[in-house]
Amino acid sequence: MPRAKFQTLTEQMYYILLCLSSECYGMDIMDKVPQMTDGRVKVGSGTLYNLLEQFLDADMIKETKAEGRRRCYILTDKGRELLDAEYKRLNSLVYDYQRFMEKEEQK
Amino acid sequence: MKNTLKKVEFFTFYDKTGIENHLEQMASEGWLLEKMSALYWTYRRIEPKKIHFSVSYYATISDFEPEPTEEQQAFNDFCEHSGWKLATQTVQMQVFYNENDDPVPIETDPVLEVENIHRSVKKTVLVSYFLMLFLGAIMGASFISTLLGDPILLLSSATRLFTGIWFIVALIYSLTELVTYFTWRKKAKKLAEQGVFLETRGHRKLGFAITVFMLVSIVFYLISLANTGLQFYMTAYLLIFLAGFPLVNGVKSLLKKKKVKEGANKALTFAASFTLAFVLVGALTAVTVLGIRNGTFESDLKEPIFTIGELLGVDDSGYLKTRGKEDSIMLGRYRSSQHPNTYEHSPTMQYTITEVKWAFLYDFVADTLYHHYDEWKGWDSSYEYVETDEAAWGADKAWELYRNGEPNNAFLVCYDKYILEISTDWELTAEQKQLIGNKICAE
Repeated sequence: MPRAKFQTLTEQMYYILLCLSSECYGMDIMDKVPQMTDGRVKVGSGTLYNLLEQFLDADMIKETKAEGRRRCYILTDKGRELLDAEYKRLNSLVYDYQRFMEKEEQK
Repeated sequence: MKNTLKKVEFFTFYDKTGIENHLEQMASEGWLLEKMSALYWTYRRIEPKKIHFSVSYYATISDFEPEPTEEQQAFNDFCEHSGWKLATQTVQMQVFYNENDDPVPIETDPVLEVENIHRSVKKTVLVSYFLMLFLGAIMGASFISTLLGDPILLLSSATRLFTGIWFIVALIYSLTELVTYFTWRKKAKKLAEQGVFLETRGHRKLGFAITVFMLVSIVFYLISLANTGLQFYMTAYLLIFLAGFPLVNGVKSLLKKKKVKEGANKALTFAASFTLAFVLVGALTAVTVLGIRNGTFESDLKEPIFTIGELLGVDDSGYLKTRGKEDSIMLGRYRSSQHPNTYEHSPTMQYTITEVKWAFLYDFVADTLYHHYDEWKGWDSSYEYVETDEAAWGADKAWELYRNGEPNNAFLVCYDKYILEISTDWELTAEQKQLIGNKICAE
Protein backbone atom coordinates (compact mmCIF):
# COMPACT_ATOMS: atom_id res chain seq x y z
CA MET A 1 0.00 0.00 0.00
CA PRO A 2 1.39 3.46 -0.83
CA ARG A 3 2.73 5.52 2.02
CA ALA A 4 0.53 8.50 3.06
CA LYS A 5 2.45 11.68 2.37
CA PHE A 6 4.92 12.53 5.19
CA GLN A 7 3.12 10.23 7.67
CA THR A 8 6.32 8.29 7.81
CA LEU A 9 9.53 9.67 6.34
CA THR A 10 11.90 8.00 3.93
CA GLU A 11 15.57 7.97 4.92
CA GLN A 12 16.27 10.81 2.51
CA MET A 13 13.41 12.94 3.88
CA TYR A 14 14.55 12.25 7.43
CA TYR A 15 18.13 13.36 6.81
CA ILE A 16 17.14 16.41 4.79
CA LEU A 17 14.91 17.59 7.65
CA LEU A 18 17.64 16.75 10.14
CA CYS A 19 20.08 18.95 8.19
CA LEU A 20 17.55 21.76 8.30
CA SER A 21 17.22 21.70 12.07
CA SER A 22 19.71 24.51 11.75
CA GLU A 23 19.79 27.02 8.92
CA CYS A 24 21.35 25.48 5.82
CA TYR A 25 21.70 26.14 2.07
CA GLY A 26 19.60 23.70 0.11
CA MET A 27 22.47 22.70 -2.13
CA ASP A 28 24.78 21.97 0.81
CA ILE A 29 22.43 19.21 2.00
CA MET A 30 23.77 17.05 -0.86
CA ASP A 31 27.22 17.09 0.83
CA LYS A 32 26.03 17.05 4.43
CA VAL A 33 23.88 13.90 4.28
CA PRO A 34 26.68 11.54 3.14
CA GLN A 35 28.95 13.09 5.80
CA MET A 36 26.34 12.51 8.52
CA THR A 37 25.79 8.90 7.45
CA ASP A 38 29.36 7.88 6.52
CA GLY A 39 28.27 7.72 2.90
CA ARG A 40 25.43 5.29 3.62
CA VAL A 41 22.73 7.71 2.46
CA LYS A 42 23.10 9.91 -0.60
CA VAL A 43 20.52 12.36 -1.89
CA GLY A 44 20.35 13.00 -5.63
CA SER A 45 20.14 16.61 -6.80
CA GLY A 46 16.73 16.14 -8.46
CA THR A 47 15.29 14.32 -5.48
CA LEU A 48 16.59 16.99 -3.08
CA TYR A 49 15.19 19.80 -5.22
CA ASN A 50 11.77 18.14 -5.42
CA LEU A 51 11.63 17.32 -1.72
CA LEU A 52 12.56 20.87 -0.72
CA GLU A 53 9.70 22.11 -2.93
CA GLN A 54 7.31 19.65 -1.30
CA PHE A 55 8.48 20.51 2.24
CA LEU A 56 7.98 24.20 1.46
CA ASP A 57 4.48 23.55 0.10
CA ALA A 58 3.64 21.55 3.25
CA ASP A 59 5.03 24.34 5.51
CA MET A 60 7.54 21.95 7.00
CA ILE A 61 10.46 24.26 6.17
CA LYS A 62 10.75 27.95 5.40
CA GLU A 63 13.15 30.02 3.38
CA THR A 64 15.39 32.21 5.51
CA LYS A 65 17.57 33.99 2.96
CA ALA A 66 18.48 33.96 -0.72
CA GLU A 67 21.81 34.77 -2.38
CA GLY A 68 21.10 34.82 -6.09
CA ARG A 69 19.62 31.43 -6.74
CA ARG A 70 21.11 29.88 -3.57
CA ARG A 71 18.48 29.61 -0.89
CA CYS A 72 18.73 28.92 2.81
CA TYR A 73 16.08 26.98 4.71
CA ILE A 74 15.22 25.99 8.25
CA LEU A 75 12.60 23.73 9.85
CA THR A 76 9.28 25.24 10.87
CA ASP A 77 7.53 24.13 14.06
CA LYS A 78 5.42 21.78 11.95
CA GLY A 79 8.55 20.32 10.35
CA ARG A 80 10.21 19.89 13.73
CA GLU A 81 7.11 18.12 15.07
CA LEU A 82 7.15 15.71 12.13
CA LEU A 83 10.87 15.06 12.52
CA ASP A 84 10.42 14.45 16.25
CA ALA A 85 7.51 12.13 15.59
CA GLU A 86 9.63 10.17 13.13
CA TYR A 87 12.48 10.02 15.64
CA LYS A 88 10.11 8.65 18.25
CA ARG A 89 8.71 6.14 15.80
CA LEU A 90 12.19 4.93 14.91
CA ASN A 91 13.06 4.75 18.61
CA SER A 92 10.01 2.67 19.30
CA LEU A 93 11.11 0.29 16.53
CA VAL A 94 14.49 -0.06 18.22
CA TYR A 95 12.88 -0.45 21.64
CA ASP A 96 10.51 -3.14 20.33
CA TYR A 97 13.43 -4.96 18.76
CA GLN A 98 15.44 -4.92 21.96
CA ARG A 99 12.52 -6.06 24.11
CA PHE A 100 11.60 -8.88 21.75
CA MET A 101 15.17 -10.12 21.28
CA GLU A 102 15.83 -10.06 25.04
CA LYS A 103 12.78 -12.24 25.60
CA GLU A 104 13.94 -14.61 22.87
CA GLU A 105 17.38 -14.88 24.42
CA GLN A 106 15.88 -15.60 27.88
CA LYS A 107 13.87 -18.54 26.50
CA MET B 1 36.16 14.96 -40.67
CA LYS B 2 32.64 15.91 -39.63
CA ASN B 3 32.34 17.25 -36.11
CA THR B 4 28.57 17.08 -35.84
CA LEU B 5 26.18 14.24 -36.48
CA LYS B 6 22.45 14.59 -37.03
CA LYS B 7 20.43 11.45 -36.34
CA VAL B 8 16.74 10.71 -36.48
CA GLU B 9 15.88 8.91 -33.25
CA PHE B 10 12.71 7.00 -32.46
CA PHE B 11 12.52 7.00 -28.66
CA THR B 12 9.29 7.05 -26.73
CA PHE B 13 9.05 10.21 -24.59
CA TYR B 14 9.12 8.40 -21.24
CA ASP B 15 11.75 5.81 -22.21
CA LYS B 16 14.31 7.19 -19.77
CA THR B 17 16.29 3.96 -19.59
CA GLY B 18 16.44 3.49 -23.36
CA ILE B 19 17.55 7.10 -23.97
CA GLU B 20 20.22 7.01 -21.25
CA ASN B 21 21.69 3.71 -22.49
CA HIS B 22 21.70 4.94 -26.07
CA LEU B 23 23.43 8.22 -25.19
CA GLU B 24 26.08 6.36 -23.16
CA GLN B 25 26.70 4.11 -26.17
CA MET B 26 26.97 7.16 -28.48
CA ALA B 27 29.47 8.83 -26.09
CA SER B 28 31.58 5.66 -26.01
CA GLU B 29 31.68 5.94 -29.82
CA GLY B 30 32.73 9.61 -29.61
CA TRP B 31 29.44 11.49 -29.94
CA LEU B 32 27.94 13.70 -27.23
CA LEU B 33 24.33 14.84 -27.47
CA GLU B 34 24.12 18.57 -28.10
CA LYS B 35 20.55 19.30 -29.18
CA MET B 36 17.19 17.57 -29.51
CA SER B 37 14.61 18.76 -32.04
CA ALA B 38 11.34 17.29 -33.19
CA LEU B 39 12.97 15.80 -36.30
CA TYR B 40 16.47 14.83 -35.26
CA TRP B 41 19.08 14.93 -32.51
CA THR B 42 22.44 16.63 -33.00
CA TYR B 43 25.64 15.12 -31.60
CA ARG B 44 29.06 16.77 -31.20
CA ARG B 45 32.30 14.84 -31.77
CA ILE B 46 34.27 14.16 -28.56
CA GLU B 47 37.00 11.78 -27.46
CA PRO B 48 35.25 8.41 -27.04
CA LYS B 49 34.77 7.87 -23.30
CA LYS B 50 32.49 6.54 -20.63
CA ILE B 51 29.95 9.24 -19.73
CA HIS B 52 26.89 8.79 -17.54
CA PHE B 53 23.60 10.25 -18.71
CA SER B 54 20.44 11.05 -16.82
CA VAL B 55 17.09 12.05 -18.27
CA SER B 56 15.02 14.22 -15.94
CA TYR B 57 11.40 15.14 -16.40
CA TYR B 58 10.36 18.59 -15.26
CA ALA B 59 6.65 19.16 -15.80
CA THR B 60 6.74 22.95 -15.43
CA ILE B 61 9.19 23.59 -18.29
CA SER B 62 7.46 25.46 -21.08
CA ASP B 63 8.79 25.50 -24.61
CA PHE B 64 7.59 29.09 -24.94
CA GLU B 65 9.67 30.60 -22.11
CA PRO B 66 12.19 33.08 -23.54
CA GLU B 67 14.87 31.73 -21.20
CA PRO B 68 15.07 29.13 -18.44
CA THR B 69 12.95 30.14 -15.45
CA GLU B 70 14.53 30.80 -12.06
CA GLU B 71 13.26 27.40 -10.83
CA GLN B 72 14.79 25.63 -13.82
CA GLN B 73 18.10 27.36 -13.30
CA ALA B 74 18.04 26.50 -9.61
CA PHE B 75 17.37 22.87 -10.52
CA ASN B 76 20.29 22.95 -12.98
CA ASP B 77 22.51 24.48 -10.24
CA PHE B 78 21.63 21.59 -7.93
CA CYS B 79 22.54 19.11 -10.67
CA GLU B 80 25.76 20.90 -11.52
CA HIS B 81 26.75 20.84 -7.86
CA SER B 82 26.83 17.04 -8.06
CA GLY B 83 28.67 16.99 -11.39
CA TRP B 84 25.68 16.74 -13.73
CA LYS B 85 25.95 19.15 -16.66
CA LEU B 86 22.96 20.01 -18.82
CA ALA B 87 23.48 18.57 -22.33
CA THR B 88 20.19 19.80 -23.75
CA GLN B 89 16.53 20.08 -23.01
CA THR B 90 13.33 19.73 -24.92
CA VAL B 91 9.73 20.11 -23.83
CA GLN B 92 9.65 18.92 -20.20
CA MET B 93 12.67 16.67 -20.65
CA GLN B 94 16.21 17.54 -19.64
CA VAL B 95 19.29 15.49 -20.46
CA PHE B 96 22.27 15.75 -18.09
CA TYR B 97 25.67 14.09 -18.36
CA ASN B 98 28.34 13.39 -15.79
CA GLU B 99 31.95 12.45 -16.47
CA ASN B 100 32.73 11.27 -12.91
CA ASP B 101 33.23 7.55 -12.34
CA ASP B 102 30.43 6.76 -9.96
CA PRO B 103 28.16 9.79 -9.66
CA VAL B 104 25.19 10.03 -7.31
CA PRO B 105 22.14 9.70 -9.58
CA ILE B 106 19.99 12.83 -10.02
CA GLU B 107 16.98 10.89 -8.80
CA THR B 108 17.48 8.76 -5.71
CA ASP B 109 13.82 8.40 -4.76
CA PRO B 110 11.95 6.15 -7.23
CA VAL B 111 8.54 7.25 -5.91
CA LEU B 112 9.27 10.87 -6.82
CA GLU B 113 10.81 9.82 -10.11
CA VAL B 114 7.77 7.79 -11.22
CA GLU B 115 5.51 10.72 -10.27
CA ASN B 116 7.70 13.24 -12.13
CA ILE B 117 7.60 11.10 -15.25
CA HIS B 118 3.82 10.81 -14.99
CA ARG B 119 3.30 14.57 -14.57
CA SER B 120 5.35 15.25 -17.71
CA VAL B 121 3.77 12.42 -19.71
CA LYS B 122 0.32 13.76 -18.74
CA LYS B 123 1.21 17.25 -19.96
CA THR B 124 2.78 16.16 -23.23
CA VAL B 125 2.25 12.85 -25.03
CA LEU B 126 -0.73 11.40 -23.17
CA VAL B 127 -3.23 13.83 -24.74
CA SER B 128 -1.87 13.11 -28.23
CA TYR B 129 -2.00 9.34 -27.65
CA PHE B 130 -5.62 9.46 -26.44
CA LEU B 131 -6.62 11.72 -29.34
CA MET B 132 -4.86 9.39 -31.79
CA LEU B 133 -6.59 6.40 -30.17
CA PHE B 134 -10.01 8.07 -30.41
CA LEU B 135 -9.63 9.12 -34.06
CA GLY B 136 -7.93 5.84 -34.97
CA ALA B 137 -10.79 3.84 -33.43
CA ILE B 138 -13.54 5.83 -35.18
CA MET B 139 -11.86 6.06 -38.58
CA GLY B 140 -10.50 2.51 -38.34
CA ALA B 141 -13.99 1.17 -37.62
CA SER B 142 -15.37 3.15 -40.57
CA PHE B 143 -12.56 1.76 -42.79
CA ILE B 144 -13.26 -1.84 -41.77
CA SER B 145 -17.02 -1.37 -42.16
CA THR B 146 -16.51 -0.01 -45.73
CA LEU B 147 -14.05 -2.82 -46.47
CA LEU B 148 -16.70 -5.37 -45.51
CA GLY B 149 -19.72 -3.52 -46.96
CA ASP B 150 -18.38 -1.94 -50.15
CA PRO B 151 -14.83 -3.22 -50.73
CA ILE B 152 -14.67 -2.00 -54.34
CA LEU B 153 -15.38 1.60 -53.27
CA LEU B 154 -12.51 1.36 -50.82
CA LEU B 155 -10.02 -0.51 -52.99
CA SER B 156 -10.53 1.84 -55.93
CA SER B 157 -9.90 5.05 -53.98
CA ALA B 158 -6.30 5.72 -53.06
CA THR B 159 -7.37 8.43 -50.61
CA ARG B 160 -9.92 6.23 -48.81
CA LEU B 161 -7.55 3.28 -48.80
CA PHE B 162 -4.47 5.10 -47.52
CA THR B 163 -6.20 7.31 -44.94
CA GLY B 164 -7.97 4.22 -43.57
CA ILE B 165 -4.67 2.35 -43.28
CA TRP B 166 -2.97 5.39 -41.67
CA PHE B 167 -5.69 5.67 -39.06
CA ILE B 168 -5.37 1.97 -38.26
CA VAL B 169 -1.60 2.41 -37.89
CA ALA B 170 -2.28 5.37 -35.55
CA LEU B 171 -4.66 3.18 -33.56
CA ILE B 172 -2.09 0.38 -33.21
CA TYR B 173 0.70 2.80 -32.30
CA SER B 174 -1.26 4.78 -29.70
CA LEU B 175 -2.72 1.63 -28.17
CA THR B 176 0.72 0.01 -27.90
CA GLU B 177 2.21 3.12 -26.30
CA LEU B 178 -0.67 3.60 -23.85
CA VAL B 179 -0.80 -0.04 -22.77
CA THR B 180 2.99 -0.16 -22.36
CA TYR B 181 3.07 3.08 -20.40
CA PHE B 182 0.24 2.28 -18.00
CA THR B 183 1.53 -1.28 -17.47
CA TRP B 184 4.97 0.14 -16.69
CA ARG B 185 3.50 2.78 -14.36
CA LYS B 186 1.48 0.24 -12.40
CA LYS B 187 4.50 -2.01 -11.83
CA ALA B 188 6.86 0.94 -11.32
CA LYS B 189 4.68 2.43 -8.55
CA LYS B 190 4.69 -0.86 -6.65
CA LEU B 191 8.42 -1.35 -6.98
CA ALA B 192 9.13 2.31 -6.13
CA GLU B 193 7.53 1.74 -2.70
CA GLN B 194 10.27 -0.84 -2.16
CA GLY B 195 12.93 1.66 -3.28
CA VAL B 196 13.48 0.21 -6.75
CA PHE B 197 13.15 2.12 -10.02
CA LEU B 198 11.68 -0.08 -12.76
CA GLU B 199 13.51 0.44 -16.05
CA THR B 200 11.35 1.87 -18.81
CA ARG B 201 10.69 0.11 -22.07
CA GLY B 202 10.03 2.03 -25.28
CA HIS B 203 9.16 1.00 -28.81
CA ARG B 204 12.11 2.23 -30.82
CA LYS B 205 11.80 -0.45 -33.51
CA LEU B 206 8.03 0.10 -33.82
CA GLY B 207 8.59 3.88 -34.13
CA PHE B 208 11.18 3.28 -36.87
CA ALA B 209 8.97 0.76 -38.71
CA ILE B 210 5.96 3.09 -38.61
CA THR B 211 7.97 6.08 -39.84
CA VAL B 212 9.38 4.07 -42.78
CA PHE B 213 5.92 2.66 -43.54
CA MET B 214 4.35 6.14 -43.48
CA LEU B 215 7.00 7.63 -45.78
CA VAL B 216 6.78 4.76 -48.27
CA SER B 217 2.98 4.78 -48.21
CA ILE B 218 2.84 8.56 -48.77
CA VAL B 219 5.04 8.14 -51.86
CA PHE B 220 2.82 5.26 -53.06
CA TYR B 221 -0.26 7.36 -52.37
CA LEU B 222 1.01 10.31 -54.40
CA ILE B 223 2.05 8.01 -57.27
CA SER B 224 -1.35 6.32 -57.29
CA LEU B 225 -3.02 9.74 -57.62
CA ALA B 226 -1.28 10.18 -60.99
CA ASN B 227 -4.45 9.66 -63.06
CA THR B 228 -7.00 11.31 -60.84
CA GLY B 229 -6.23 15.02 -61.12
CA LEU B 230 -5.53 15.18 -57.37
CA GLN B 231 -1.79 14.63 -57.54
CA PHE B 232 -0.79 18.29 -57.76
CA TYR B 233 -3.20 19.35 -55.03
CA MET B 234 -2.28 16.58 -52.57
CA THR B 235 1.49 16.97 -53.16
CA ALA B 236 1.25 20.73 -52.62
CA TYR B 237 -0.93 20.17 -49.55
CA LEU B 238 1.64 17.76 -48.12
CA LEU B 239 4.49 20.19 -48.80
CA ILE B 240 2.53 22.99 -47.11
CA PHE B 241 1.98 20.72 -44.13
CA LEU B 242 5.70 19.90 -43.97
CA ALA B 243 6.72 23.54 -44.46
CA GLY B 244 4.29 24.60 -41.73
CA PHE B 245 6.35 22.96 -38.95
CA PRO B 246 9.61 24.89 -39.45
CA LEU B 247 7.68 28.10 -40.17
CA VAL B 248 5.63 27.94 -36.95
CA ASN B 249 8.70 26.80 -35.04
CA GLY B 250 10.59 29.73 -36.53
CA VAL B 251 7.95 32.17 -35.25
CA LYS B 252 8.20 30.65 -31.75
CA SER B 253 12.03 30.77 -31.77
CA LEU B 254 12.07 34.37 -33.03
CA LEU B 255 9.69 35.45 -30.27
CA LYS B 256 11.85 33.66 -27.71
CA LYS B 257 14.92 35.48 -29.03
CA LYS B 258 13.04 38.76 -28.70
CA LYS B 259 12.34 37.81 -25.06
CA VAL B 260 8.58 37.86 -25.54
CA LYS B 261 6.83 36.48 -22.45
CA GLU B 262 5.57 32.88 -22.39
CA GLY B 263 1.82 33.69 -22.59
CA ALA B 264 2.24 36.23 -25.40
CA ASN B 265 4.51 33.85 -27.31
CA LYS B 266 1.90 31.07 -27.04
CA ALA B 267 -0.88 33.35 -28.28
CA LEU B 268 1.18 34.82 -31.14
CA THR B 269 2.53 31.43 -32.26
CA PHE B 270 -1.00 30.00 -32.26
CA ALA B 271 -2.26 33.01 -34.24
CA ALA B 272 0.66 32.67 -36.68
CA SER B 273 0.01 28.96 -37.25
CA PHE B 274 -3.69 29.58 -37.82
CA THR B 275 -3.03 32.48 -40.24
CA LEU B 276 -0.31 30.52 -42.03
CA ALA B 277 -2.57 27.50 -42.51
CA PHE B 278 -5.39 29.74 -43.74
CA VAL B 279 -3.19 31.71 -46.15
CA LEU B 280 -1.27 28.73 -47.56
CA VAL B 281 -4.29 26.46 -48.05
CA GLY B 282 -6.29 29.43 -49.40
CA ALA B 283 -3.50 30.29 -51.85
CA LEU B 284 -3.26 26.67 -52.96
CA THR B 285 -7.00 26.45 -53.56
CA ALA B 286 -6.97 29.76 -55.48
CA VAL B 287 -4.03 28.60 -57.66
CA THR B 288 -5.79 25.30 -58.37
CA VAL B 289 -9.09 26.98 -59.30
CA LEU B 290 -7.36 29.58 -61.51
CA GLY B 291 -5.21 26.85 -63.09
CA ILE B 292 -8.26 24.79 -63.99
CA ARG B 293 -10.08 27.86 -65.38
CA ASN B 294 -7.26 29.03 -67.62
CA GLY B 295 -6.36 25.50 -68.70
CA THR B 296 -2.95 25.24 -67.00
CA PHE B 297 -4.18 22.24 -65.02
CA GLU B 298 -6.06 20.16 -67.53
CA SER B 299 -8.43 17.71 -66.07
CA ASP B 300 -6.87 14.37 -66.78
CA LEU B 301 -10.18 12.51 -66.83
CA LYS B 302 -10.43 10.82 -70.18
CA GLU B 303 -13.15 11.54 -72.70
CA PRO B 304 -15.86 8.89 -72.46
CA ILE B 305 -14.57 5.57 -73.84
CA PHE B 306 -17.78 5.28 -75.85
CA THR B 307 -20.69 7.70 -76.23
CA ILE B 308 -24.40 7.64 -76.97
CA GLY B 309 -23.60 9.41 -80.23
CA GLU B 310 -21.36 6.57 -81.38
CA LEU B 311 -23.89 3.93 -80.39
CA LEU B 312 -27.02 5.59 -81.78
CA GLY B 313 -25.40 7.46 -84.63
CA VAL B 314 -26.68 10.86 -83.45
CA ASP B 315 -24.94 14.17 -82.86
CA ASP B 316 -24.35 14.17 -79.09
CA SER B 317 -22.14 17.26 -78.94
CA GLY B 318 -24.75 19.08 -76.84
CA TYR B 319 -25.34 16.11 -74.52
CA LEU B 320 -24.56 16.28 -70.84
CA LYS B 321 -21.69 13.93 -70.16
CA THR B 322 -20.69 13.64 -66.55
CA ARG B 323 -17.72 11.52 -65.67
CA GLY B 324 -15.70 10.55 -62.67
CA LYS B 325 -12.66 8.53 -61.87
CA GLU B 326 -11.23 6.88 -58.81
CA ASP B 327 -7.90 5.20 -58.89
CA SER B 328 -5.65 3.22 -56.63
CA ILE B 329 -2.75 0.84 -57.10
CA MET B 330 -5.26 -2.04 -57.11
CA LEU B 331 -8.35 -0.80 -58.94
CA GLY B 332 -9.44 2.00 -61.24
CA ARG B 333 -13.14 2.96 -61.57
CA TYR B 334 -14.23 5.09 -64.47
CA ARG B 335 -17.87 6.32 -64.46
CA SER B 336 -19.81 8.00 -67.24
CA SER B 337 -23.38 9.23 -67.44
CA GLN B 338 -24.82 10.71 -70.64
CA HIS B 339 -28.20 12.22 -71.58
CA PRO B 340 -29.42 15.03 -73.92
CA ASN B 341 -29.66 17.95 -71.47
CA THR B 342 -30.97 19.13 -68.14
CA TYR B 343 -34.61 18.72 -69.12
CA GLU B 344 -34.50 15.69 -71.44
CA HIS B 345 -33.40 12.42 -69.92
CA SER B 346 -33.82 10.12 -72.89
CA PRO B 347 -31.92 8.49 -74.42
CA THR B 348 -29.72 7.95 -71.38
CA MET B 349 -26.79 5.74 -70.59
CA GLN B 350 -24.69 5.14 -67.47
CA TYR B 351 -21.71 2.89 -67.25
CA THR B 352 -18.83 2.10 -64.93
CA ILE B 353 -15.69 0.38 -66.08
CA THR B 354 -13.61 -1.21 -63.37
CA GLU B 355 -9.97 -1.84 -64.17
CA VAL B 356 -8.48 -4.64 -62.08
CA LYS B 357 -4.75 -3.95 -61.81
CA TRP B 358 -3.87 -6.89 -59.57
CA ALA B 359 -4.95 -10.06 -61.39
CA PHE B 360 -5.58 -12.03 -58.20
CA LEU B 361 -8.33 -9.55 -57.26
CA TYR B 362 -10.25 -10.13 -60.50
CA ASP B 363 -12.53 -12.96 -59.33
CA PHE B 364 -13.24 -11.18 -56.03
CA VAL B 365 -14.21 -7.93 -57.81
CA ALA B 366 -16.34 -9.71 -60.44
CA ASP B 367 -18.09 -11.72 -57.72
CA THR B 368 -18.74 -8.60 -55.62
CA LEU B 369 -20.25 -6.76 -58.60
CA TYR B 370 -22.32 -9.82 -59.52
CA HIS B 371 -23.81 -9.84 -56.01
CA HIS B 372 -24.31 -6.06 -55.94
CA TYR B 373 -28.11 -6.36 -56.12
CA ASP B 374 -28.41 -9.15 -53.55
CA GLU B 375 -29.32 -6.66 -50.83
CA TRP B 376 -32.43 -5.65 -52.84
CA LYS B 377 -33.87 -9.15 -52.48
CA GLY B 378 -37.07 -9.15 -50.44
CA TRP B 379 -37.97 -5.56 -51.36
CA ASP B 380 -40.75 -4.64 -53.80
CA SER B 381 -38.51 -5.28 -56.76
CA SER B 382 -36.25 -8.27 -57.14
CA TYR B 383 -33.11 -8.11 -59.25
CA GLU B 384 -31.16 -11.00 -60.66
CA TYR B 385 -28.26 -11.36 -63.08
CA VAL B 386 -28.93 -13.95 -65.76
CA GLU B 387 -26.14 -15.27 -67.94
CA THR B 388 -26.25 -13.96 -71.50
CA ASP B 389 -24.27 -14.42 -74.72
CA GLU B 390 -20.74 -13.14 -74.00
CA ALA B 391 -19.69 -13.52 -77.65
CA ALA B 392 -22.07 -10.67 -78.57
CA TRP B 393 -19.95 -8.41 -76.34
CA GLY B 394 -16.61 -9.89 -77.45
CA ALA B 395 -16.20 -10.66 -73.72
CA ASP B 396 -15.20 -13.58 -71.48
CA LYS B 397 -18.48 -13.59 -69.56
CA ALA B 398 -21.69 -11.52 -69.58
CA TRP B 399 -24.89 -11.29 -67.52
CA GLU B 400 -28.06 -9.31 -68.04
CA LEU B 401 -29.93 -7.84 -65.09
CA TYR B 402 -33.53 -8.95 -64.74
CA ARG B 403 -36.00 -6.96 -62.66
CA ASN B 404 -39.01 -8.93 -61.43
CA GLY B 405 -38.20 -11.54 -64.12
CA GLU B 406 -38.02 -9.01 -66.98
CA PRO B 407 -34.79 -7.92 -68.78
CA ASN B 408 -33.79 -4.45 -67.61
CA ASN B 409 -31.30 -3.15 -70.25
CA ALA B 410 -28.48 -3.46 -67.74
CA PHE B 411 -25.46 -5.70 -68.12
CA LEU B 412 -22.41 -6.91 -66.29
CA VAL B 413 -19.67 -7.81 -68.76
CA CYS B 414 -16.23 -9.24 -67.97
CA TYR B 415 -13.21 -8.61 -70.19
CA ASP B 416 -9.58 -9.50 -69.69
CA LYS B 417 -8.82 -6.90 -66.97
CA TYR B 418 -11.91 -4.69 -67.28
CA ILE B 419 -15.41 -5.24 -65.94
CA LEU B 420 -18.23 -3.20 -67.44
CA GLU B 421 -21.53 -2.35 -65.71
CA ILE B 422 -23.82 -0.62 -68.18
CA SER B 423 -27.42 0.55 -68.09
CA THR B 424 -29.37 2.17 -70.98
CA ASP B 425 -33.00 3.12 -71.50
CA TRP B 426 -33.15 1.37 -74.85
CA GLU B 427 -32.44 -2.19 -75.88
CA LEU B 428 -28.85 -2.51 -77.05
CA THR B 429 -28.43 -4.11 -80.48
CA ALA B 430 -25.81 -6.72 -81.34
CA GLU B 431 -23.85 -4.06 -83.30
CA GLN B 432 -23.89 -1.67 -80.36
CA LYS B 433 -22.68 -4.42 -77.98
CA GLN B 434 -19.91 -5.30 -80.42
CA LEU B 435 -18.88 -1.65 -80.72
CA ILE B 436 -18.71 -1.30 -76.93
CA GLY B 437 -16.66 -4.53 -76.73
CA ASN B 438 -14.23 -3.27 -79.39
CA LYS B 439 -13.82 0.07 -77.60
CA ILE B 440 -13.08 -1.57 -74.25
CA CYS B 441 -10.71 -4.14 -75.75
CA ALA B 442 -8.87 -1.27 -77.49
CA GLU B 443 -8.19 0.25 -74.03
